[in-house]
Amino acid sequence: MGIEIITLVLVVGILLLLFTGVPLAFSTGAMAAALILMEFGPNGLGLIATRIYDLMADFAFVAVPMFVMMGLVLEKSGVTNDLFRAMSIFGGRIRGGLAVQTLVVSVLLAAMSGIIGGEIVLLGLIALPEMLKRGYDKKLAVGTICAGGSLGTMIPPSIVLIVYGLTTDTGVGELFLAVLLPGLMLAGLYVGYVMVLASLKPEVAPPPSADEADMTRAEKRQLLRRTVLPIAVAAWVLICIYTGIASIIEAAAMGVIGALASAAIRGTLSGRLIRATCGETLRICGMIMWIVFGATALIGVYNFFGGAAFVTSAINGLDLPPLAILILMMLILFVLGMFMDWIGILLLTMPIFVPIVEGFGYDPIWFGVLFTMNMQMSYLTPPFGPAAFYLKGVAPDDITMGDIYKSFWPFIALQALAIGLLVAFPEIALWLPSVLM
Amino acid sequence: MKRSTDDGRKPSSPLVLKPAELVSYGFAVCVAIMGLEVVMRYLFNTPQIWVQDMVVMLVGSCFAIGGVVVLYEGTHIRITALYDQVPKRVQRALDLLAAVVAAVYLALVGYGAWVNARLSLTLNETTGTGWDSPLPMVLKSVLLVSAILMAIIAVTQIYRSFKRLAG
Repeated sequence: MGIEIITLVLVVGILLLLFTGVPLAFSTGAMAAALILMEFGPNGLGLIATRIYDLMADFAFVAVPMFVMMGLVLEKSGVTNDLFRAMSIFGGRIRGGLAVQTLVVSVLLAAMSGIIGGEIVLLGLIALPEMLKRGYDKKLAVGTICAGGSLGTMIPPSIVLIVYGLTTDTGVGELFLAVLLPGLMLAGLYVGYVMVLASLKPEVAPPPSADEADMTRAEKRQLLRRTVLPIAVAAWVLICIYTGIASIIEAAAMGVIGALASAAIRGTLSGRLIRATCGETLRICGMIMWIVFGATALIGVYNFFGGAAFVTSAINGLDLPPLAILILMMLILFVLGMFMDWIGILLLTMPIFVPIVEGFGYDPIWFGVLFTMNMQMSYLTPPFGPAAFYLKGVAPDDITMGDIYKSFWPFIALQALAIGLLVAFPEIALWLPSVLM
Repeated sequence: MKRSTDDGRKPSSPLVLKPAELVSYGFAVCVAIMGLEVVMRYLFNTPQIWVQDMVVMLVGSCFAIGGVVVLYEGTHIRITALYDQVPKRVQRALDLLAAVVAAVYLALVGYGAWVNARLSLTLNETTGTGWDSPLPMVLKSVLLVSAILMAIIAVTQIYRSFKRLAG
């Protein structure tokens, strides 16, 4: 088979399997395994097993379960709940205060763990009822939670960036620095949107009643004190990473220890907490890693047949200016994001895209930030927007899937705007690493 | 990100979940020994060379075995946009297709893993550096066992969806 036919068979085959509901983890891998079996017989299968083994044996991937655990411990011990309550001190008086408060908490949560599902579920349980009770517009409430909850993929420590760094051989520390300002910029755009909307249409975000907003000084102090610890944990992890006291993986393990310590101080550390955390980490990793295994099998087999060279020459053959190709790549990522999740997209496209982008003289660090920004959209775009599924699981029944997806569009537009800004002004990403590294 | 359908009838066999729970404590062990290593290195200036390989062995095993649990519980991520629109009977047929694809893939991975694991065990393969640990042998064997377990689970799922489709 020629590489053109192979490409066609793989793309069509995988899309067919995906749409008929075959799990992501097996669709990609099955096509790869079938292809290599047909061309090389059973002995070719060793290639797939070897690629999977290489990932299992990669120390760098240890960061994934560590950051997952850290987030789970903070969530299960009630620390994140405290955080949301405490932030009401700042959110109380401004327009759209509850929504702004939700976004601020999202950023803090993102800095502590960055498990999208966990964050959205948590905010759906804490912030959504609060906003609905206050009479917030359903769509504003839902959109804020899902867009905010998705920030976990951007704000360091982000698992997306760790995997991007590993796949493309770029420095994870540098990526973390580069993504900081763009991530905050995106969160800032959300906050700005909420505040503008709340002042144009006050009925979508009613202010709190006078007695609700009132809190004694002692109450405030008590609330604030409870947040010192989780914020210290997040800061500690980031300090470890940026100063190089510990490697990113050790920093992640330190983060788990810090999270356990804050659970202990809060009085909610228990054997059950540890058991539940370990069990859930096992499941989350099993889910993520088998998708990674499938994708690595596919990309290995495809490149074995000369796939990367084929796509590269096809893209270069378009004879478009670099900027047009960059925009084309962003569109491809956007479309893929409607059907796949970030890790599949990353492993399939980045080994091909990044060398091309580097060939144009663009910075791979900057491209990585663009990629995570793009993946923000993939969380929200139908028909496969994981954020919507996560929220639906905990939202009241009268919030339909249609409501949820409709609420996303303003935020998707803001994400597109942020990508545009980042393309026009790469300094937003590259300034911080250039100053600090 | 819908969890796959399994009409709520979860096999309650402790055969998979109990050992898996035990395996999952590997994560806690990793946190502990990595914390210990940092302390040893900074306070006592005695870096522990065995920690990294140990952690990779535990975490790598958890990765593979996690997939067994997720398949057993039917929670691998799948796109359900189309699936949700079709009638029940077609859904049953799609369940059968998903189980068949999984079984074929896992059997093929299992075969590849067997080729690799057999070679690794006969050569008594070790990492060759530092602690010179048996990491390659361990992880290649774990992958083999996980793939076989998952293939067996997928075959039982084929059987069940076939029965449901016929019945």
